[in-house]
Amino acid sequence: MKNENKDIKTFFFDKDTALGSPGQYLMVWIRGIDEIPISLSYKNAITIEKIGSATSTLFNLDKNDSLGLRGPFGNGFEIIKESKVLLIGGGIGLAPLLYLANVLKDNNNDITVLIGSKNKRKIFFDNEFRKMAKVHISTEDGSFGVKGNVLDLLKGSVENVNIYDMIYACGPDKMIRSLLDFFNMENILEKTQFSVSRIIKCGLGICGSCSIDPKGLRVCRDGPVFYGTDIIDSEIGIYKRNHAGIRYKL
Amino acid sequence: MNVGKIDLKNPLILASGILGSTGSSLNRIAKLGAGAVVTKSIGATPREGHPGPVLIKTDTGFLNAIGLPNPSYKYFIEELNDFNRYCPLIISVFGANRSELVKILKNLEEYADAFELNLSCPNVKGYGMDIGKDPIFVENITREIKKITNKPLWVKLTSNVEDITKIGVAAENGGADAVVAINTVKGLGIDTESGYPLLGNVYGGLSGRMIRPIGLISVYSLYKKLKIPIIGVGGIENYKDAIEYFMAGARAVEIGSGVYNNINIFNEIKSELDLYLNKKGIKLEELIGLAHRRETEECNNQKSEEREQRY
Repeated sequence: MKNENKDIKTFFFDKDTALGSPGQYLMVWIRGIDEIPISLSYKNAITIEKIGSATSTLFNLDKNDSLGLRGPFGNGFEIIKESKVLLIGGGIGLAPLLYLANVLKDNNNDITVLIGSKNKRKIFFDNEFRKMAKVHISTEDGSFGVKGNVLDLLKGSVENVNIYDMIYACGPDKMIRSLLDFFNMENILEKTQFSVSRIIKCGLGICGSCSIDPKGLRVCRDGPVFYGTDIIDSEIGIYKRNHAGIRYKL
Repeated sequence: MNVGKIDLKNPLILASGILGSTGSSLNRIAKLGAGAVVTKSIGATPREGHPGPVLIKTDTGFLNAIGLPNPSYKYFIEELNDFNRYCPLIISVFGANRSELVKILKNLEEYADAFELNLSCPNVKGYGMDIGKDPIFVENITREIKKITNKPLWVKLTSNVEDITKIGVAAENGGADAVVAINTVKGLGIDTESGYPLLGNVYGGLSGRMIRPIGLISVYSLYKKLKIPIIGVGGIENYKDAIEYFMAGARAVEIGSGVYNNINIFNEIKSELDLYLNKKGIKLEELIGLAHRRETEECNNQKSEEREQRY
């Protein structure tokens, strides 16, 4: 276990083999509480932000405690080789991007990473990314790096997004929407991959709780990684559904 | 083809609880060849469902206790407005009593081609199977609902009873337009590492390939007792599975867990079924209940053999 910041912790499993590919997720069972979907942040680790009862219980686990795991599930990021790539992450959305960066590095890519954070205190994984990539950081309150969101950072630090062969992003819905719209304007959606998040219950593409409109794509099975072209016209960044399936605006 | 008072595009229907929570998800399955689609079961108030795990893959099926999560009829209307009517829509409903069901049916009636009354969910106390095991309740609630709505009413039965035909007869006597058999079969799994039951709800319902023989005997027995159509469901993964249900007496079938391996299962079974019927030079109608007619033939043959021996 490793503390990344006050609310974010990485849990390494005792298996040294890869538990899945970058962008894939595990259903993590905290026995007696709940089961939640978590993307891999290393080949054999997950990184979790403390937000609810399940994640709080996880934070109280001791070193040799065991967890129930199902998976890996879903379609991960498509990996390219020997190219120029840009990774954009906001908040806990950085977790799957770290594993992705590791694999992209192994495939001899030239990597740039943009990190969006609320404030300086919440920044994490910056040192890990620096080992393999050029890193730029923005904070909403300006306490570190560029003041603003990752789109401001992107516009400020990257002269031309067309120089990248592939752009990978993961973060809150609003961030993904702003990037989708920007890349759409730049006409490069087919070179963008997004990992998106919805309420995943079964993880197997059966129950339908994570379906997104209007195509009925299942985040748990058809995703969680989608090309920008597949989700530009989707509900992402506009509305979501809660556990009961009631829509709410973002 | 008309089954249970609605016109199906084909006899392969999406079962309730599978990819039926949103309008766009129902549209996707409708475009992939379903003869009709059944929604997730809708209740009177929003429900979040059970804590996870809610679905566990077993050797040849699934154990689930999703727990009837649904936005309530009120919020489900916006999903129904998204449905494009590419095939008939059957709205699955559940309620603890008459007054809950009245509210749901009155509000959803204009969107439904038919209703499927879920009297068989095995994993939520006070709903579904808990009440659907009692023939007197089933007959009364079916009769009450028929008074509330003019839309066709299908009643979905549980096999977790001593004799499913008693429940089927009760539904028919209450005025049901068809029965749907079966819902999942009650089951349990335990984590050997910790001793915790595998599902958040402890027990759940078994679906998939392994329950097909249970579904088949249920349909087969119901066919002997009922006049109304039977819709068969349980473990259908290919055209032969569907044909077994037709031969047992089902006029149509629903497919649920089978969508897991293949989301295009409706189109594929439809074309394979057509191929089978063409090769045999018969109509689907001729398959329905064939196993019963074969049984009678066998009896007659045996009798004539006995007669021959006697003389």
